[in-house]
Amino acid sequence: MRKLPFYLLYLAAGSGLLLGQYQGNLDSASCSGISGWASNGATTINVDYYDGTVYLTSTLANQNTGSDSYVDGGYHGFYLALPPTLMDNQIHSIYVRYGGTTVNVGSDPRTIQSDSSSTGYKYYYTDTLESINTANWTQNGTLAVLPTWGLSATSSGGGSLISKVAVGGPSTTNYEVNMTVALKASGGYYVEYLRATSNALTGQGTYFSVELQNPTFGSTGACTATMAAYQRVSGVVTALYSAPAACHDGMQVRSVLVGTVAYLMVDNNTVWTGGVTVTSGMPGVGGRSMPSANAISLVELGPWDNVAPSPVNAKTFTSTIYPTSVTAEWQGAVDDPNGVGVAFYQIYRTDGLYLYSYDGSLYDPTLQPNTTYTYLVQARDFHGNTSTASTLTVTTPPAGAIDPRRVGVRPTGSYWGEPGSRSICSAAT
Amino acid sequence: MRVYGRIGVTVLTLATALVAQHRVDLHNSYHRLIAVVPLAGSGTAADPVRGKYVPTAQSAGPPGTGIIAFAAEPSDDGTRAIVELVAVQRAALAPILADHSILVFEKGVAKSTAIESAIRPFRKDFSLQSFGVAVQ
Repeated sequence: MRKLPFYLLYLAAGSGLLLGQYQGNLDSASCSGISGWASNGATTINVDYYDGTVYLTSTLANQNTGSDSYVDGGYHGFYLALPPTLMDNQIHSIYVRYGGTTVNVGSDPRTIQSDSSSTGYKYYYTDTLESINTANWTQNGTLAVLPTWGLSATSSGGGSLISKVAVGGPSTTNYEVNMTVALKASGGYYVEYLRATSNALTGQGTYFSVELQNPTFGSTGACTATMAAYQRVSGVVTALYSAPAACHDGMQVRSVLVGTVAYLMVDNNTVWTGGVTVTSGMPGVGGRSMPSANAISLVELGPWDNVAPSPVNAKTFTSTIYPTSVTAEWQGAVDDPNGVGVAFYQIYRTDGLYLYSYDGSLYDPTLQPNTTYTYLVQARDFHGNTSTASTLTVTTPPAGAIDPRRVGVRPTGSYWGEPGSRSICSAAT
Repeated sequence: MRVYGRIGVTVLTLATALVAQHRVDLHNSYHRLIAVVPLAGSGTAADPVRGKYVPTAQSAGPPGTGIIAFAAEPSDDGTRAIVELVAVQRAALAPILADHSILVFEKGVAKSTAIESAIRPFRKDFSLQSFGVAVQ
């Protein structure tokens, strides 16, 4: 039998023909869990998790797990909290396969080392809001509790719950509010309050607030909404931020204030960083004009994580350099064992350009031939702590050069970067 | 065989292009500008204080048109706002870029260092690394 030319095999693999149009990536395996995205281009699929060759479990790939999980008009992210059996301080190679196949999601495993003390980030107060505990909350306005469902505020004036629970952690003014929203119908406003006075409610009291506004389900089931941030100080409401956002049932909105800086995450995507002037107060949640089918189903109040991630190991930088562009990758940085997790990498090109990377890679198409560029790469966690900078220097070849310069190639011919990068989450290491 | 070879080169090129897609930097997506603008709004929840050109829920156009996202910080003296405005179409930013009464920079055209040094007289701790909006 005549062999298929290698380039046809290459094309078939590259375009997904050999894999049944499967596409996806194993984004991370960390103390908090295993995540990525997987799609077959048609329907929602399962993914199978393996520790080496040992099957662990399966989940659906239908979640919003980050900026890359929205594919073909839907969410195809997967997430699995790190199974306790893997918290044995041993090194585990985590594979994820397209459900029912032997095809790996991504080309290489993720490696993780975790022990039982590596609990990751812990919230100091959690409430499913199936009832209002007046010992823990001050209520303002009109609210309702939907048994087994959560907090509802259907009136246009709405209501709020401001925490009475002492803020945990190293600061009473820096902390996180994480709200999970049950969205079954369009409409409503869902609000997080930070540094709020006990009487805070939209338009009264003093507060910084983040709102999920008017989620709307289209005919295809896709949901779009607006995220917005405000502060009210000395009786004046100021608009700080607004942007469109994808939404879904079970979405999480996380707000963090550290000093004069606010960080806002939607389903672990950092969507806004900005300045605030409100200085102190308590966390809370609330809403208004919510359809009766919707609710705030969980609120978690978390301490300030003030420990920076480890720096990127500069020895793992690899780059492919063309006359006018560079692609670089590096081994993922690791957050501290009880940290909130690495959110992204902020990159400063020293001639004056800021770039951001969510996956441990860099693509800069704005270079000039025959020029040396220096990039400072910092890992940043979800609370804004940044690692010390690691330096990547590249020199572009002359214009017209054909072969890119490949730097940092492993003996196997593969590059550093996402595949095989290792998360160490052990307090003992 | 030469035909197969040519086909092979072609498909290799196409396949490489498929594989070599890069993720969008959500902090630099669409068309953006950064400006120091005067304030508008009465300060109520329905009419919050905001930077000039920042749309309200009432003044915003249909989804995906006009200014689709913004971030704002007050100046140190509280009389102005430093804003980043995002638009799908650059034309939506054109009137603002042409406003000679404000300090305005088109992101991706002006260097970050130039933007920061021009804005720091209005807000001394201004940094593009702690200011901005990610838009999918």
